[in-house]
Amino acid sequence: MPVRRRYPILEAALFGVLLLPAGLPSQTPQKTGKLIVTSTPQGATIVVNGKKVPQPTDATFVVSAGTYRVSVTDADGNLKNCGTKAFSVSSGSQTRAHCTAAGWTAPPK
Amino acid sequence: MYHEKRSVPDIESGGINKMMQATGRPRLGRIGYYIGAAAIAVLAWQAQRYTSGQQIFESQVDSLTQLQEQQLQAFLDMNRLLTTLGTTMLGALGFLLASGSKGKSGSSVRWSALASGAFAGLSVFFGYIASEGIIYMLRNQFFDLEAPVILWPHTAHFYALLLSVFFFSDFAIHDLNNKEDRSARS
Repeated sequence: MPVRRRYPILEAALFGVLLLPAGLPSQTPQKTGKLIVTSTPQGATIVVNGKKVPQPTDATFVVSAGTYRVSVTDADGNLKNCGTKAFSVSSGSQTRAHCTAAGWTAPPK
Repeated sequence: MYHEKRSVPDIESGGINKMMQATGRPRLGRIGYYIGAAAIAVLAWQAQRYTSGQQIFESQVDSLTQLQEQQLQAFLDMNRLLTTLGTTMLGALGFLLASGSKGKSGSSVRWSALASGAFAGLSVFFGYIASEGIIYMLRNQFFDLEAPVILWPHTAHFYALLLSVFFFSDFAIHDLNNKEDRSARS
């Protein structure tokens, strides 16, 4: 005797809902970008969004897309002109932040 | 004759209502099952959305150190173990349901079996999400097993399995007791 299904549409909808979490592209983790912080001289302390980062310059960070407030300081006070500056990072691209005694400058090629 | 006389007034005085209630229960239970399953799917979806939406700020690494490789191996071993236990739980639940569901059991027992199966399924699902997080981490060249994209699914993987075990033991104990009662009566 064939099994009679009472709610075929409801069952199909439920099946779709159950597959929703894994199937949605928006549910996969976001694409990242790179924030590269360098300085001359190297070995300076990096502060991002008010928090000190364990890695000294030069350092590369894998970050979510967004804007980051970066400052760089060193013990000798040579990099005192590199105060907080906002750097925008978009997904799939890299943003460079280079600090010298003169302040934030274009990174050397 | 006695039975005929009893049955007619019985139906007239509310017997039909009782019959309708009795036939309506499975339908209600089935709709409840659908609502519960959809609620669990939405819950899993929201949890996954929360973890994947967390901000990432990690140092890039070019290669893993020996210690990091060992940490990763331990994590993957744990992930595999929990997934195996989750699938075993589903198998054991199916076996008990198939072999012991001929007799009538209480509704609370059936709900504990459903809850156990649901949490075992959730556990396997979060295990999959955690392993996706590991692939995401390696692809993006960072190493942090406590990154939200890995830590939350991994934690959910474990605790969903724990809940599944709890409900499974409840179901197994009740089911076995019912079986023993039935065999003692026969």
